[in-house]
Amino acid sequence: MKSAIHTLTQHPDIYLGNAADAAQSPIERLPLGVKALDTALAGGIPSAGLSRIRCHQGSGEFQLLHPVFAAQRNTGKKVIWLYRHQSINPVWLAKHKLLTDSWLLSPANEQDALWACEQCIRSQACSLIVYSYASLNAKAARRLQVLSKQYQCLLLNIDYNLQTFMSLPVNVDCELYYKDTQWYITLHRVVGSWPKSDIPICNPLPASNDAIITAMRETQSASVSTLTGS
Amino acid sequence: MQWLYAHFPSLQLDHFVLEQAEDKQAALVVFCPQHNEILQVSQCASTAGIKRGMGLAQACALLNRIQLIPYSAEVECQQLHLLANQLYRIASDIVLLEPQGIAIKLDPIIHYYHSVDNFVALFHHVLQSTALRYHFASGPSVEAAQVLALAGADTVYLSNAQALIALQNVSLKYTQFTSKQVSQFDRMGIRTLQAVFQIPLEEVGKRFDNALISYLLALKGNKAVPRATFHPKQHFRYQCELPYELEDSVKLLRFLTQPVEQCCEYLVSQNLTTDSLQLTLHMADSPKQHVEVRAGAPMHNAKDWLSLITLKLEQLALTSAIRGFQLRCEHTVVFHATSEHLFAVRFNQHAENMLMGTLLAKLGSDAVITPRVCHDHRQDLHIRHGLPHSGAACEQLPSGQHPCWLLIDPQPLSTQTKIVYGPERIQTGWWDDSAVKRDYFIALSSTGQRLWIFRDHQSNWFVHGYFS
Repeated sequence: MKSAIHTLTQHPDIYLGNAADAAQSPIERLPLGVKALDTALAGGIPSAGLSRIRCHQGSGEFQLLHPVFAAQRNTGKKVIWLYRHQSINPVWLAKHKLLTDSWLLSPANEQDALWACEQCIRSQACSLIVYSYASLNAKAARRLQVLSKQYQCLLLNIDYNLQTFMSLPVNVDCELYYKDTQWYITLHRVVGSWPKSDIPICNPLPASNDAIITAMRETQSASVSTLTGS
Repeated sequence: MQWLYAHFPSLQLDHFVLEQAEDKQAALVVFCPQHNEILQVSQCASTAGIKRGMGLAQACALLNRIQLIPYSAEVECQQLHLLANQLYRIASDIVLLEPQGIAIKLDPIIHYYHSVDNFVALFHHVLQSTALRYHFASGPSVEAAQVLALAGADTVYLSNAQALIALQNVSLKYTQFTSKQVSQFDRMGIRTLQAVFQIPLEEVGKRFDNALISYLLALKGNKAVPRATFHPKQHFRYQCELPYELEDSVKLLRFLTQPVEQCCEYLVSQNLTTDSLQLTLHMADSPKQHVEVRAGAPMHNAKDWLSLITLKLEQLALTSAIRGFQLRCEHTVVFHATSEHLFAVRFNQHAENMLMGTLLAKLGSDAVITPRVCHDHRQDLHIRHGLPHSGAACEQLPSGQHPCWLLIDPQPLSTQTKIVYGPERIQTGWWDDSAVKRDYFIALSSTGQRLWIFRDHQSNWFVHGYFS
């Protein structure tokens, strides 16, 4: 019941008068499970509001966000995926236990995508929106940031356009990149903490042939040593 | 006043195909033995030239391997009530016109959904999820909307005036006039409603009874015929005649899964729960066998009930083969939430309905997808979602690696990559037109992108997805 009242007190349509200050609580954060990163993020990604991740498509960005998705499963609310050209794989959603709670939206243009995003936030039926339709401009980002904080919704902007960089009014603005066989994250902006560059992280491949290669090498070295011995 | 009417011309056949048919592509017809008339025709039978209204001999002459389903108004009424239960979640004023019609009063809904379009989009979404064929129309009265829907208008008119204009061109065969009255009008050279409306009511009254005058007034929207609105019952009943006799009780589970799920959906929607389900088995050569499945505590979860039913059926000794069954849930109790969860679910359901209606109305049904996994290793098929019932839902997921992003059309590989995993060969689909033979790999680009690539049988390389 406590959380139900908490939802009410956070509702933007309810005027709390003098109790408004008392109702405000410190920012709730969702840790990512990477110690160095969570420390730099002051505990994790804020559970409400807009956060941006910039990276190349297929950099393991959703793998990094897995704890965030796991936190949304028990909310009973929807996870919205807004995208343009590609499609989200339902089997991947099912493997991450997100299939029944997910809706996939692929609007025809960016204006419709922003409209749909705003409707999803306002509906209060969604706990997480993954927006990878296009890069956000400052005006749209400000609007979505205010709305998502008001309606207690987490909006993740996955930006695959690395050509241009524009500073946006977001909670967390980070960049995931690969350099010399190592993955790094640079935090351009973190609400409640300072920016930090080049945080090394572990970002494993979904699968690899390493085990087979190692086994073959061991077999080869064993056969070579046998031949040498004989 | 504005009404929306949905007519389900093949309710029994569609239900049979969805829940019971072994071969969904078979030539199936619903046949009325009393009148020797074919009432409902499947796609395959229709392709062979079989039409509604034909006799059995004529149908057999056209196609000798048709499967007959005896018509049952009871089955259609039962399905109509189940449909009404589903629609009751999104609309309040529902009128059932048994055995094939449902009318919804739109006036109170407009205030709730802000516009008719939002509601109509959600209405289609709900009906399309059932995979039943239907026609629909709106009108100033139930009767007017019914006639337009029967005529296949498939339009929600912006105003009642537009609906009345459309109504004037409709043939009399779609009205509720008796065949005798239609032939009487025909002899007078009157074949459309426009011509009927032009006759003064006094003149109509000299030749026809008061019931027809009342019906004409209702068609024009001048008189509202009082009708009982639908209210969900406090108990759930489902009757099913099996397509063939079952010797093994465990095999009954296939036919019980959907009714149990419907029962649990019904319980949740009514804020009810139950601790017992009653199953009556209709046997071939012995009296009915009663089975009661009891749970330790009240439950409303389909998976929990199905696991209990499975255990019960495994222990059940049949006296003879099963021909049919009846599932009943009569001892229901109001769910007393110990937490806010049920309240939250109900609140979310309303919010979801509102959102889904708005999104469908603005973006269109192609842009709003509720994802489903189907039984196929070809990943392309998973993103060609279509209707929710177009592919069989599966609990066992395809094995192998599955990327998060899938390209709708695989693109030729144009960047330098290094293979880090693979191959996984997918060779399937030889039974349809999209046969594939591909060796899939995970490749790493210089920027660290994890690509899902494949080599086809001509050794061409394509990118098919990204592991995000």
